[in-house]
Amino acid sequence: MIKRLLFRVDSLRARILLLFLVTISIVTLLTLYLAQDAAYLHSRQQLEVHHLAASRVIADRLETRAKLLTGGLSDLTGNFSVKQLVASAGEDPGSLVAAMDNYRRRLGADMFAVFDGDGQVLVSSLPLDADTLRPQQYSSDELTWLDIDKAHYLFKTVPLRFVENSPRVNAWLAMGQLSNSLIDEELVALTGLQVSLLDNAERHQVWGSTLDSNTVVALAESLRGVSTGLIEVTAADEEYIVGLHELDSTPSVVTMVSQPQASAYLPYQALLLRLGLLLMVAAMLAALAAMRISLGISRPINKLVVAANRISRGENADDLPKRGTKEVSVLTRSIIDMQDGIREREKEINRLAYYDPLTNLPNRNRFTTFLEKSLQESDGESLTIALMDVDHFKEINDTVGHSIGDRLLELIALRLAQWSQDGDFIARMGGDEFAVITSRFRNHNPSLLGEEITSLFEHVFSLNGLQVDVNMSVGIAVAPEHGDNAPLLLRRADIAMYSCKGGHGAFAVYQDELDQHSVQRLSLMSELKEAIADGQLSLHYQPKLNLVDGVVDCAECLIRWQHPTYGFVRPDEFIGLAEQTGSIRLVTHWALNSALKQQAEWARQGIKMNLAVNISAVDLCDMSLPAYVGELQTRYNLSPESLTLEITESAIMQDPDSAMLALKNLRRMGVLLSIDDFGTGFSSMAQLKIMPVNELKIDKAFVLNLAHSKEDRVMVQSLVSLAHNLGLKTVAEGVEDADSLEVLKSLDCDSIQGYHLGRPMPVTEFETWLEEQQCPEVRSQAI
Amino acid sequence: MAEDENGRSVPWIPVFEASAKSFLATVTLALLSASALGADYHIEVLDKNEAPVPGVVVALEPLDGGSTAAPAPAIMDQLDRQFVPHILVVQKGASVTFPNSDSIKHHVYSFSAAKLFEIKLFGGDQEQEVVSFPKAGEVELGCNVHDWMLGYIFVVDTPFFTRTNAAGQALLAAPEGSYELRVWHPRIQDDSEALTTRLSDGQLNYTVRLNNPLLPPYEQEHVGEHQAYD
Repeated sequence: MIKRLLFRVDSLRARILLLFLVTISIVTLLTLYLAQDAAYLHSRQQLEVHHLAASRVIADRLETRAKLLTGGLSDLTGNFSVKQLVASAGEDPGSLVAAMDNYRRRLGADMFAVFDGDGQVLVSSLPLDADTLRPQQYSSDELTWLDIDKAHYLFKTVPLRFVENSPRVNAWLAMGQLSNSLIDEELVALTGLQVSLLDNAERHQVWGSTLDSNTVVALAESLRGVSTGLIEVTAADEEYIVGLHELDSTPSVVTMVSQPQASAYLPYQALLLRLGLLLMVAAMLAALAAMRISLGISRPINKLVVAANRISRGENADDLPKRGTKEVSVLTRSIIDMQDGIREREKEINRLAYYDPLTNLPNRNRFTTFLEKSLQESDGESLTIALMDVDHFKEINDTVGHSIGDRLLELIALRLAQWSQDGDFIARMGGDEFAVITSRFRNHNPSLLGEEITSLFEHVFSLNGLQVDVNMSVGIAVAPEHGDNAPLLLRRADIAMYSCKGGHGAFAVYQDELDQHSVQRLSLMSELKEAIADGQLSLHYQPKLNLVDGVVDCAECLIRWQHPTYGFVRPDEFIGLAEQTGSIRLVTHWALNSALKQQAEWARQGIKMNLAVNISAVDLCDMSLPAYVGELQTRYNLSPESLTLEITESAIMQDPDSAMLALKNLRRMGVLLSIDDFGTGFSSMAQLKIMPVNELKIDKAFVLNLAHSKEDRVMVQSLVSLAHNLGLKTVAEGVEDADSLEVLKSLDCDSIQGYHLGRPMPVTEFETWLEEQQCPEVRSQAI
Repeated sequence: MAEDENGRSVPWIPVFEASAKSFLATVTLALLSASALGADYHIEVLDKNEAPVPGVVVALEPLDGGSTAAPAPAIMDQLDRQFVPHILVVQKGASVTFPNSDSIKHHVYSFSAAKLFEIKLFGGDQEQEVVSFPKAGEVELGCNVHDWMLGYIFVVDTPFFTRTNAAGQALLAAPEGSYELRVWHPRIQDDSEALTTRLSDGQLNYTVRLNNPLLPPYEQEHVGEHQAYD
């Protein structure tokens, strides 16, 4: 029961309290019960003792009275005059009666009688049944009783001898005292109880009582059949405690002492009441103590609960219990430790989430958050953001190693940090990309910011003894005019940055045109696939002149996109994007197919023309490319060496090992391979030596000014001799004037390509051009 | 213990032996002289247990006319605060003198039916009181100032009386005639009429048997101060 109740009570405080109260209650009740029991027993024993003592007092009183009577009578028997009167009773009974009545009064008795020696009544104050009365029966020391006319008398006789020493009894003198006169208020005063004398028969006859007659009769009626003991009885609507005791000398008579129960147990009940009060006070004190203890336990625990809840909400919990039990202290300590641990980890997580571990600058997340916050707080005031990345960082990284690349990024961060002023916000956005938020250029041309940043990187970085010149592309956007939200501003800064990519120390402030262009670029990518199917792409052919035999035996295939809406789309606009999106494969496949188809067509017309097709770094990794090329050449019945695949030097250098494998496969098929834009990349001689290529295509940067630049001429000469020494042929592109052609001829370059010979032309135009070239005059003119 | 004539206690066994011898002699004598001198009656008193009762007053009261013999006077003395003798037997009409041999005074009285009298405080130096007892019967004597004093005067209406000896026997000579045998003693509780026997002709031996036990013997509980130091 208690257990079930305890289960219901959930709070610790309530449980402790309840447990305490239950224990106290049990102890209290037990104590009360035991005390009551003991007190009752004691009280009852006291009563029994009291009653017994009272009954002794009564018996004593009766015996004293009997002795008084006997003594008085004994005195009379020795009285000579009495003897004389008794002796002459026959003749003069009146004198004897008068004398006896006189002595009766003296003794305080109620009746008298004188018997002769044979027990015959001589004189008597009351009529006696002399036939059954034996005077000697009443002469003992004990109490003797005689019933006369329904009244009860303490009756004593004493023998009278005329001559004292005579063996014979001459007469008996007798006195009687009424039983009810024996029981008087003096006994009540002596015993403190109401006193009654009863006949000890089945129906107690009342012989005398200090109680009123109704009560005593009712009590006697209730006690029918009971002869001794302490009895609780109800008589006349009141409860009594009654003690019945047989008289020792005459068990036929019982004394009855009585008192109302209320008064009998009064001290006992008062005792119980006092004990009850004491226990109540004790219980209250214990309850208070329990409450204090339970509060002492539960209050700190409640505080800890509040603290734990605050911690779980991410708030600071400072209100921890300062005092408490050992357990609470340990718990408090644990919670404090937990809170500290959480704070530490939060800080770390925050750092990891919002800071770049390398440069310790805020990261993109933090930047975005801060930008949004700043925009909200800027209240319409202008805010300038700059987004920048390191040009050709990948190449730098590949060349000098990642650890030095990282070190470079740290140095860049350091320069930016040193440059920044209060209120500026610098972040590393990831990779080689950094960003700045500043309000310092609020009232200036945003170009100033670009200039400041680019000027930061005019000095080279010194890395482990290496001098590295770094170009940054910086894109700038201004809030709110370029956008009122972080994503838009970032995108526009990105567009601006992209727009100036490639230039040295370049920066660009965002303009709407840039964005439109950008949008166009993005949509182009989605349309490229469609464009291929629609035939929007076409190949233009730029002739290559073999300087050895003076014939145009080769043409480079260049992709042109005539967009139905935008018109002509330049290749460098979409090829790079196609490479990034992976759709370059489709473009390459289309180009190869178109080129070889055309080659087959020309072959059918009797025009023998080798074709060169550009493939990207992505294509180089495409292991299905050699198979595809083989399939096409089989389809169009072309010899493998009629196709040259041009790969830029930088494409090879992105992943030289894979590139080498792919090139080997292609070369094994017999396809000719050419390294495009040679001289701008970072090929090492060792790599070049083992590369399975057939020719080097000298970048136009070295050729354009060849006629006037001595350095370029030395460079080209070196390249040509290098190629020849490696068993490679050389092609110079960007030949735009006759002088350059002459120089190249003199330098033993194998082939040339350029506007001087012919620009890239659509098929029909190229065919026409080719026909014109057949005329010797034209041909010689050109050459 | 038995009582002698004077009521004093004496050892009785040697007496009994002596008496037994004289008893045989007496019986023989009685048988021989019966016809000439009247008769000698031999009377024996036994208690319930067939034990002899000494000191019992036995008297033969003539049934045919009273005796002509004048009663002899007697003395009931007060000596050492006792009645002496304890039991006095007198013939009806006898005068008894009550001298006082003590130095202190006595107050002798009787409330017995046979004789009520009182001799108020008297000393030995005073004139001796003489009391006549004209009625047969027991007279119990007491002293009003000395409760222990007890004495008896038994008044018989005949000159033929005696008391049993230590063997409870008595020999009583009486002339021829018809008699009633009466026995009395203060210790005997039996009704006196029931104990009275009418003598038969020619029968000389009579045994009286008591049906009730004897009362306790009289003891001199309250001895006088002189005697106490004797």
